[in-house]
Amino acid sequence: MSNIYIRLVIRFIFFLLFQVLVLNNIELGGLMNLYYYPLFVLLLPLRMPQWISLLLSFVLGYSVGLFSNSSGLHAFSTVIMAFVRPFVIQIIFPKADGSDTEEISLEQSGFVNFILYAFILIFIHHFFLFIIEVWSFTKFYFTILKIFTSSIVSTSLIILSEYLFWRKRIK
Amino acid sequence: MRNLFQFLFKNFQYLLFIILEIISGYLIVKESSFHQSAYINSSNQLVGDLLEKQHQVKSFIYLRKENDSLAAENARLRGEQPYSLLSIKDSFFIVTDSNKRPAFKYISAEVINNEVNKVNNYLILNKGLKNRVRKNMGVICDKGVVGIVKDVSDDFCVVISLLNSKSRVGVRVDKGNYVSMFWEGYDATTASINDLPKHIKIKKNDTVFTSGESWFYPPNLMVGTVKDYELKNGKNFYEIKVKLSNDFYALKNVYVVQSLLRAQTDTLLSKIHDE
Repeated sequence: MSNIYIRLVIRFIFFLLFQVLVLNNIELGGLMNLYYYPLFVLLLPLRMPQWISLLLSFVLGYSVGLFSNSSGLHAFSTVIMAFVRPFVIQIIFPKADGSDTEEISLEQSGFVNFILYAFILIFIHHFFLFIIEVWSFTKFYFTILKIFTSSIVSTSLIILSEYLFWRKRIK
Repeated sequence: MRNLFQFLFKNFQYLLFIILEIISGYLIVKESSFHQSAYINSSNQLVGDLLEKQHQVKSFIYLRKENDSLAAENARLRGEQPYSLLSIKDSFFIVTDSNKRPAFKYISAEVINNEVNKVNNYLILNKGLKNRVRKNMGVICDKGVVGIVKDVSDDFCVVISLLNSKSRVGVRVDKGNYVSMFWEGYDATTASINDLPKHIKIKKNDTVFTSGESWFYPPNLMVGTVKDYELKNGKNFYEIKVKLSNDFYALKNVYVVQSLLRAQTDTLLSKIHDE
């Protein structure tokens, strides 16, 4: 059991540093912002009590936001994402009861299901992030477009990395 | 009572969710206020140190480019020195300098974290209280306006970038009157002016200067040029797009402006408001 927590801590630090030191420096124009850290929430163990995952996502969002003066913004959207996650899992993976599969992974859940799972949650995260960031309807269509393009780019990055690096972990 | 506790325990996660969102909402409101000091922000020491380390690696890569731009600025400044000016009449020489007194001092600083993609962008500089940087000082670079200092710690400061939906800069178009320039929120090379009255004649490529009204920035500093303008039917004001002369994507060396006279104007103004 302690093994899981050590792994979570290492992953937490890695995702945080990767986001603020590497991805925050990549500029793809005003329409696309890359966020990789939501993958931490996507990969949380299924058996983990919901209150721990809520707290963890709050701390993660808060720490990422510290680097850009928007800790509240990131904490808010990450907590919403973690809150919605169990419902999304129930819909997409009705059979997952948490006894056999420890985490949702690309290999075990299948390509299409995982993309759906990742995209829905990341879309929710980006939706709240960008809507609250703008906080007005003056640039409504631009914001909507930004939410869509950023979600697609972030999901692609997450799928790609899941495919390349995290696959070996299983078995 | 026991039922209440049972209810709370059963719905603990929902309760926690609501509490966490309230905390986040409170943080959002606190961080979005323009002049209010946030206790926790990126000028705190740990975040600053981490970004400083990252900056050291990055600055090494851009060293050559940075050298070139500093050399160019040196050359320009050298041209403005008294010894490079030739007196027109050699029998008659006015020392104009004794007629003037310094109004601005500059503190050079380096950008260690820069944002351009967001709606509200901030910069972090590697100078702080120890280097006499204070809140509400303006920040400029060799090509134009950068922003205003929001928060200061011992070694770092956070700057509200010009690329922030809340920032306003007092400017004038060519020789026209004083208007305010703001950023629309999506294009890092363009800013807008919406309050220039229509009786003033402007044309494309007119230069936009700082007005220096509020003493944040020195006056007559070039900010950009008029890229495009439009006068809609029935409107009394132009809608002007300004092409910023400053390249926010490649921002490295900046100057924090220490205005020696702003304290006076501020106290005078506050006296009026108090009455």
